[in-house]
Amino acid sequence: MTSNPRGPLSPQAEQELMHQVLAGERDAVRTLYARFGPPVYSLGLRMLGSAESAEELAQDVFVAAWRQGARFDSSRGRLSTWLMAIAHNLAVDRLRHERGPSRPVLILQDELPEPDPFDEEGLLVERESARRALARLTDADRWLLSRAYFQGWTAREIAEADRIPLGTVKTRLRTALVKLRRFEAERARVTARAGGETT
Amino acid sequence: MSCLDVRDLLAERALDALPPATAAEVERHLEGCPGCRKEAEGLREAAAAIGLGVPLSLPPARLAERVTGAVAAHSGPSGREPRRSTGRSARVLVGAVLTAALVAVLSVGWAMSQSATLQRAMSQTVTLQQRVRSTEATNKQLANQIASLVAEVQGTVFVANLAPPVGRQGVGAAVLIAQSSAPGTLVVWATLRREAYHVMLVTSNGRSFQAGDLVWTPNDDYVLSRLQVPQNLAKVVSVVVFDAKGRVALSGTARPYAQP
Repeated sequence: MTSNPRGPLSPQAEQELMHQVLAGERDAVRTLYARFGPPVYSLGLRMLGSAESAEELAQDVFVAAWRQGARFDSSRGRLSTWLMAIAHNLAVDRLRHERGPSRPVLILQDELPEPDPFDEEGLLVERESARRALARLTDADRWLLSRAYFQGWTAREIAEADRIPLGTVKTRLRTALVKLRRFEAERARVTARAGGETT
Repeated sequence: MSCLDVRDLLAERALDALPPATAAEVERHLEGCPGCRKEAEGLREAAAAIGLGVPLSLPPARLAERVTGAVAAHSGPSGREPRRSTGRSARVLVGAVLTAALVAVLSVGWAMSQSATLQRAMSQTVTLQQRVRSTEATNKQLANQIASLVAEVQGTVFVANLAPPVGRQGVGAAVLIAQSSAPGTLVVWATLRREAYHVMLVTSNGRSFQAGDLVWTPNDDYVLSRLQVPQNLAKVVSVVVFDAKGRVALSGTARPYAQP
């Protein structure tokens, strides 16, 4: 699929992998899990607060990926984005069904752990890029995004909790996401330029 | 919903923070609006970065087998059996559609007007469908007919069995004939619940393009015949039929035709 089996997949390789998953090929499902299982599981752990729920979520995510595989289009976005969107959507559904006082208190930035031996090289690059982009947001932006993303709050719920106008919350959510996208794009350009200079 | 209304909601969509009814309205708009869709994809990518930024925790080793086992259980015989079927009925379907495509390519000629060729190909498809549904003997005759026609085609023939997602009904087949010096030919046949459908082709480099709408026939099935497809059909890896709501109705992988 690529010369480095642990390195980043090209869009073409991602599309091919999903075709194989769609065809029910076990090796392809294993490859998909090996690459994206850890971040999906970690997101489940962070959002749902227990290893059991995170495992259930991971299983649901990969079954959903198989079911919806025909919709994945690598020309529109990365496979990691697509899978994390599925994972987040399913986790938010669970949160909303199980809303209660036991939800974990969540933060966006932790200290960067040492890379784990199971970590895929390609995913490390994406994760590092994401973490650096997140680090450039203000604390207020991160707090706002964490409640919407990790706790599944709607803009209206945030507005009511913070006693600020709904329109303000919507604008701030949008602005924070646009900044995040810009920071990631800037970092991608810098990385590409650095790569070009060394070759 | 206007583009302005939708763009106001895209950040919340990316964060899965929209009420379900509003989310459904936004999705409907995005299906038909490439500009808003692009904006939505960018914001969703930013939201995914939040999830990817979570420090990694090591999942238990058993989870890998649990996940592969769950997918296998769904994609196995009781799950999506039609997609993987290589049985007689699937061969008959492919045979019928393949014959229709070959007959169209060989007998019509590129100089004819497209509307006339479409009509003719469609009627030939329908006739062949009726013939092929009847008996095993017909199937054998058809296989011979296909073999002789394939030998005459200046190009590569690909076929795809089309199967529905779990929980939905329907079946179909697609034939793609890629020719190096002429536009390609595409014939899709399907039986589906009465609704509007369109066909999308996905290429090996991840690009996709709309092939056209399925046309309902008096035989209560659907056909799409295109004799002047400008794209290189040899690069197509998947054929996907969508319903009017943008949901996958049928899909299948295009493979080089091999005589059964």
